[in-house]
Amino acid sequence: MSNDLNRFQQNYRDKQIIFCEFEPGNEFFFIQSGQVKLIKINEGSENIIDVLSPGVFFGEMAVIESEPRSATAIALGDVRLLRFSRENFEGVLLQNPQLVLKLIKTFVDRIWSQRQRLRIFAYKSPSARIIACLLNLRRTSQNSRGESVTYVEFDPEEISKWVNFDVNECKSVLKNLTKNNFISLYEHTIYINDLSGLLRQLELYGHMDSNE
Amino acid sequence: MREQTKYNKNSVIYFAGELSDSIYYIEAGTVAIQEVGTQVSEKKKLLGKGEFFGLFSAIGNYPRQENAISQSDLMLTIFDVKEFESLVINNSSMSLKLLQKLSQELRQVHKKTQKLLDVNVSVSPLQGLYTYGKAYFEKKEYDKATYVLNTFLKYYPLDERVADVKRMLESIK
Repeated sequence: MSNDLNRFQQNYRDKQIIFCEFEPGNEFFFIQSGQVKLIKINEGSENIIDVLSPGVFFGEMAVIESEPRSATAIALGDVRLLRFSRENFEGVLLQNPQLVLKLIKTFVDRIWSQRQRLRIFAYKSPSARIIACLLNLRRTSQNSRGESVTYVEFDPEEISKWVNFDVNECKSVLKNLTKNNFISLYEHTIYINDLSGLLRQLELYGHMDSNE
Repeated sequence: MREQTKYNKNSVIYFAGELSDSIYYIEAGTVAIQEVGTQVSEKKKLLGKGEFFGLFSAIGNYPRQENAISQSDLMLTIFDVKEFESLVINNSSMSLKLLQKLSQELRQVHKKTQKLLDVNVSVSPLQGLYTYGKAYFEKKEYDKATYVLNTFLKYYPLDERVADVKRMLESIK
């Protein structure tokens, strides 16, 4: 990124609010260093929606659409941001097509993961949500014998965020799934052994949920 | 200029589950996009001239999550991811329009997720800011409360809750 962008630099200290949900939004941001958490207040407490790291944009939705902020952004530790206003938004983008590309990719990424969330939250029980989560996040690759394996990167915190249940509950559901050999659990990877079995389970849960 | 491809009415452009890095731009005609394999009943979405589809799975390198079927005779320009990137870099007015579309889409998906989580989505900005300010005030997070309450005063100086907001700000001092 070119040096002339430095005039947009702005520093925030730990826990400082960058913008608040419902506030009109006239500026958008790019994280140069540090982390930013996006939260919503629900029944008096902060619910984390996302934690953003350097190299990503945020706050652009309100600027592009002239709508109020849809979440609250708070500095997590000391943060250095580039802050752009609605007035220089188009100008900055027109002069920095690479930024446009980055912004489009940011959107594509966020929309994709929100859609996955939507698919997962459609189920109510922890087991169904976790199975839906595994199915949605699964990837395939080849092992050393050239067989294709289906897996999900295993990070209990991450999974708990995806399904919106606490970490211990997630772990106990995952352990149960290993008993029936649906999956194998390793330190950093979950292997899916029985894909069609999991799909059948999910279908069953789907029926149960809709009968509630 | 990229070559254009013609499809007849009711042709399948792709099925859910396919892996591909093609991104489609509609030159003329209508395409139906139908999400597959979700519990949430997704209505069929119709796209027309000047819109892109196939973007998410191509850029994110994930299998297609929807079927794409032509609803009329159709003229498409097909890009791979590299070609799409150079299109974005060289055609800024198109890119800005695309950004706007993506932004609206993200907001809609957010709203749907919030609904599923039973969060009240129809709070007015006025009530919303007040609730935030009060929540932070009651949790004694005074820096945050000060920011939100001052924002409230800035935008809604005539609201009946102003006295209460000022009282909280006063007691923080």
